[in-house]
Amino acid sequence: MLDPLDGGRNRPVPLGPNTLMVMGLFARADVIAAAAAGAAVAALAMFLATVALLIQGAPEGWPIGPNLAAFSTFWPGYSVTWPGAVIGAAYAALVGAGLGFATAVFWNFAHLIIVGAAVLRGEWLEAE
Amino acid sequence: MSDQRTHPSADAAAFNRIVWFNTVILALTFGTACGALILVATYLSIALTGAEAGMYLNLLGVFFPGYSATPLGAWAGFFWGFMFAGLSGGLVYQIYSRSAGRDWAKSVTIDAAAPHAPLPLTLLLSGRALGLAIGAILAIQLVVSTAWLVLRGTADESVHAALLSHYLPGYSVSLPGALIGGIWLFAYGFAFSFLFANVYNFLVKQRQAGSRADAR
Repeated sequence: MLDPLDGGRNRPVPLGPNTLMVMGLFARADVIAAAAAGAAVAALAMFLATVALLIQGAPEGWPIGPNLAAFSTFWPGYSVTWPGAVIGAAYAALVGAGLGFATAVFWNFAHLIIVGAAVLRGEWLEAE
Repeated sequence: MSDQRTHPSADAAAFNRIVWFNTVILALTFGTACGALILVATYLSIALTGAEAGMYLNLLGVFFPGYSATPLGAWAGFFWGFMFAGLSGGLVYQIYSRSAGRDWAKSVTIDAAAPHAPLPLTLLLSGRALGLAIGAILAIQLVVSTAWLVLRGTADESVHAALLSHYLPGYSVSLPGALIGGIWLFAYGFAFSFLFANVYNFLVKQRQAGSRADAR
């Protein structure tokens, strides 16, 4: 476990449990890590979804996964084949990264706004 | 900096207030992302496939009144996507925050590169709590949407929904089938969310370690 009282400071700061809880709830999301994790999970999910259909197969003369293959409308080159599984995973990684990135950015932006407003309010009350 | 003397009721009130604030933030995030995805997918589908646009997207109209793969229908899709995903996002955060417990000191790390930034703590995720929250919401969504198909009397015609049985063994467009599918979907949601949280935490720790090494 990472020690929140460690790192980046010369000495541990004796934060109380309440302060830590509030700071924890307002903690910043790591945008790069969220994008990378989103990419990894989406790529794996798409790869497995394609591979699951390939392993199950289809009756003689029927195409495998014609509905999943409709993703090729948005993802040129994608198909329910082994190379297509890799191509689909790459596209899904892009989508997952975009969603992870956007979620983390939106989260951080909203928290910055509320923390900034609280600081301004505190300064305003202090000035009065 | 110490606030050891803060009254426990003030602590609980602050916790609840911030949890609700974060619930709204995640609801807005999920809602906007899902609404935008439907909007973009519809316009892309129209642009790329022309007359065949919406061969699959039109199925959303079963759940989203007014939706169709048309320019105007895309905005109805944005609205409904925003509403449904917003509700889901809010529920996910409520379940997550309540099941992660209040031991927030374990779920954050100080950003070594910017210890005095306005938001100096970096969030770490609880894989168990995230898995529980997302798995539960996915399972509920499957059960509710299947129940809707059954109630409106189109269960037998729902051939696309029935295809889920390729991934959810035992699933069918019926209430018992929905419950079996819900258990599978909970398991998938838990597994992928757990993986997401652990990959995220691993990368955060790696990046923090790198920042600390640079700071020295």
